[in-house]
Amino acid sequence: MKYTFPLVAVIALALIAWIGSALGLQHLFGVVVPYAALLLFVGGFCWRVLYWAKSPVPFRIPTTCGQGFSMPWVKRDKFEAPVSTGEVLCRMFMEIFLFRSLWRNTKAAVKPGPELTYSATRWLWLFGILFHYSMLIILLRHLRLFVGSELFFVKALDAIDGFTLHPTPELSLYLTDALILVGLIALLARRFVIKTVNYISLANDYFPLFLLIGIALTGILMRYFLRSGVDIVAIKQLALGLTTFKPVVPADIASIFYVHLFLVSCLLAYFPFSKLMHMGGVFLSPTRNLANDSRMRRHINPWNPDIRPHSYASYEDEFRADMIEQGIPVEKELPQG
Amino acid sequence: MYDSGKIIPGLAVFVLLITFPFWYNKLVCNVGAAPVKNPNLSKEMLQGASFPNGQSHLPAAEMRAKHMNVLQGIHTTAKSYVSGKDEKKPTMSCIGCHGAKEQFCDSCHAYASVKTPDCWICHTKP
Repeated sequence: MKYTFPLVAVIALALIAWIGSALGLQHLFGVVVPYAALLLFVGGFCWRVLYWAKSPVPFRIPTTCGQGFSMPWVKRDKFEAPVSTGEVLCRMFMEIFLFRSLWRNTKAAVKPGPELTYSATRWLWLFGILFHYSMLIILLRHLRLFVGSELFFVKALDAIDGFTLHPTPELSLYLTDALILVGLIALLARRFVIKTVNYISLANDYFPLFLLIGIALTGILMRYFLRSGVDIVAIKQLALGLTTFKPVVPADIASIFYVHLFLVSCLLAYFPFSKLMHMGGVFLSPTRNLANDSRMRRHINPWNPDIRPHSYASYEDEFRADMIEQGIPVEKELPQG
Repeated sequence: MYDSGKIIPGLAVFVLLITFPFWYNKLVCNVGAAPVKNPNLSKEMLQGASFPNGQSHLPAAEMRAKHMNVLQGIHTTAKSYVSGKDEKKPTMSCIGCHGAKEQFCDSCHAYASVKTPDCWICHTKP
């Protein structure tokens, strides 16, 4: 089974952190591993993007999804077939913030007749957007542990996300904590339930899902269920120590925190070398970020050799003597003398 | 490398966003010291032995992690007070041993940027 290895791997990673922190390796799992993971993440991310940047884009790839620029009386679709930078920015915005391409997802089916039909299917879009935005909000909320002062947007997100939180924040639910699990489990279920998707799912599709589910579950457990030893002040001390390069490891943090932190570190370290790089890749998608202006602007192929124009007159100048010798007629005779 | 004029600034923005806590803590905000863990309580008090009414609560480490649930538990059993209607405000018995709100509640809540609970709408501030 393609999902057993990634599942076992995530469980093993959790166990490593659990046993390690129980054996007193807090410094390793609380300081060394997170630093190494962050270095790998930032360095690997930049390396990957720069590596991509070395590939020339040979030509506009006009995979448009709307009427392109044509005659003035043909109504065109500005954002699906953009010709200017501003319109491209709109298309990129829709892609990055609204997942436009997933919204376009269709499902093919054969109906009695037989007739092939395509119908819109937006479950992938829905659960994708649920997961991604929950993840973003959760990440931003975590800034309260990493930043020494209160940030207005973290406070605002906390209030919006935790609008069910009354009277004290620790007692009831953050909306995103539930939604991220809904999104992740639906995205995982998709790979099990839909036969065609199941067929093409590989270990590297399951691994990030299991890892993210592990991270979300340990976070939720820490917050709502296994509070013993989850001392926010100690955790913030550790986080602030990391961000100010004066790492301290408070003695009394429960193992589940180290499991959470280690799984996050694994995610960071794994990120640049996996499909998760679509975070950077979406900005470099040639079919999304290039204007559909291949008939307006001349594109010079970047790897073309430098070929100088060679007219017949200069050709004859170069080979005149040989041509006369071979009896080939020339337009201009050799200079006399 | 192609399009370096767009890709390099983009990467720079990415690195700045990812390392936000590092430079923000360094340049903008003052990272204060962690609040002192043990308030000035006697040993008997820490063990919960000399609780005024003979009751006791969980050990300090447990209370640190779970006080919100404990407080909420007490709260739902004693909800007779109606804010605005009743004139005399109830006091909080925690404060009897643990001292001022500023040290006992606010120091940790501010440090961890946790919302200060709205106890003080009804309860009198010690």
